[in-house]
Amino acid sequence: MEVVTQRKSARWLLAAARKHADAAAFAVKSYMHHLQNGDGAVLDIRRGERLEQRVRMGPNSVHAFVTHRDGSITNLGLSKNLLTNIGNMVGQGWFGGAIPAGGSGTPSTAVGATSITATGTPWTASNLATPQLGLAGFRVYANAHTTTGKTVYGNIVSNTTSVATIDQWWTDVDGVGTTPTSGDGFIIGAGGISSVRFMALTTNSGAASATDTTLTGEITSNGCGRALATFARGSNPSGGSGTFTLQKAYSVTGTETAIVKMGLFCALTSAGADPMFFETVLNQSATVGNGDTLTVTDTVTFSG
Amino acid sequence: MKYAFRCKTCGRLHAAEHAGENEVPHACCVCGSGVQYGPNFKDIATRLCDPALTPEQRTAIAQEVAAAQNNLVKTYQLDNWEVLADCTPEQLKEYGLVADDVERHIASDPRGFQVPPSGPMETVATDKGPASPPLPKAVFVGAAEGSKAKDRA
Repeated sequence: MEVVTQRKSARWLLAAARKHADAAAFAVKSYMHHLQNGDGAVLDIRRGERLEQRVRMGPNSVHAFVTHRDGSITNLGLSKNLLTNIGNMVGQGWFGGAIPAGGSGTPSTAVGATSITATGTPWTASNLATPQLGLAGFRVYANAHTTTGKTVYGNIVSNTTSVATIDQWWTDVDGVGTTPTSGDGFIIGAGGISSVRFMALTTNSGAASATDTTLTGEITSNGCGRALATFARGSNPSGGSGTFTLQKAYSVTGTETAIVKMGLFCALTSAGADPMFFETVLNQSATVGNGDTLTVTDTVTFSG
Repeated sequence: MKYAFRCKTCGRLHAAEHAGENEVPHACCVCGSGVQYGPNFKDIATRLCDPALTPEQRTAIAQEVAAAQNNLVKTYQLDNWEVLADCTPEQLKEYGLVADDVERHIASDPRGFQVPPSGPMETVATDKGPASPPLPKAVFVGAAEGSKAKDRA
């Protein structure tokens, strides 16, 4: 940076300041452009045309290795993931505190192990192809009228105008909760953020694309089905940027040939109906057999 | 969706395909129970409590533990799994299930075929023609792209 060592006029100083500001603006513009071309993704949270908040997610590195039955290890290396368009939409709703159009639909008229039915038809049905998220990616919170029943929540996979399908009723400690009582009140979303912590695999060899809404050919068998990944804080945030990791050690129970991609989701289901948040092509495809352990670690960068 | 197993640790219900080639799954997809990594301390403690052990045997166990610290030892905890097909209707109701929601898992080999019983395979005559052993067969499928093209198998 140029250092001012002599006495300068106010006009000269103003011109110099503009020059540096333009250079800085250009650098920032270039950087953002770079980010949006493969090394990460930016979430823009807008109210109307006005940009309220910008959150950067990425670049996120994904590491995978296989521990074979004989104890030998195959390192599959590092690759980077992709925030999908549908995942971007889900994230905007979370950070912006979106409330479902039509209201929550409380109280319920029926509750099952994987569904809750609203009073009337208050919701817009989800359809990932449109794309119309509906309630997909939100959480529903409810309670059970039992002496041991805790408040529970479900991650919403999809919905019709009156029925929300969830993965299961979760307790606060990641157990299976008691099914809530029908006829009681419940809350959907209203600023509640789900967790992108469910990891899925596929042998589909297609390239990862931001337009993908689900993980094509998601594996559901042999211990390689979608699973809850373990969260851990990473580096201490510095300069508004920090990382955390999501890791899953798949305990394989049968042969899977050439696992190519990994996806991160907000619900524990393999129905292919819920939106995929991140998609990653593994650096090297993984072929595993009964007794092997496939460990996948996603290091997510989160910054403002 | 039909379920075959219930994780005794977290209560998650699992489909039969989760177990793959095995009688029960290796690990729960929610809590990870079913597999323990590292030395099996329960087993080690049980062995060390044996009063008949000689000092040399105790040393050998200690060396075994020390070596295991540096290796990935994987122990399957088969008792983590409740086989739903063996549950009573009352138990199933407690889990929010009915009999129609439950399936029994049959362990299979990597190709997806049911594992045959050990010993020589017997041919059995039926009323539907000559006997044939239930051997897996290879099916080749061809496909051609274009107008008026037909698949053949």
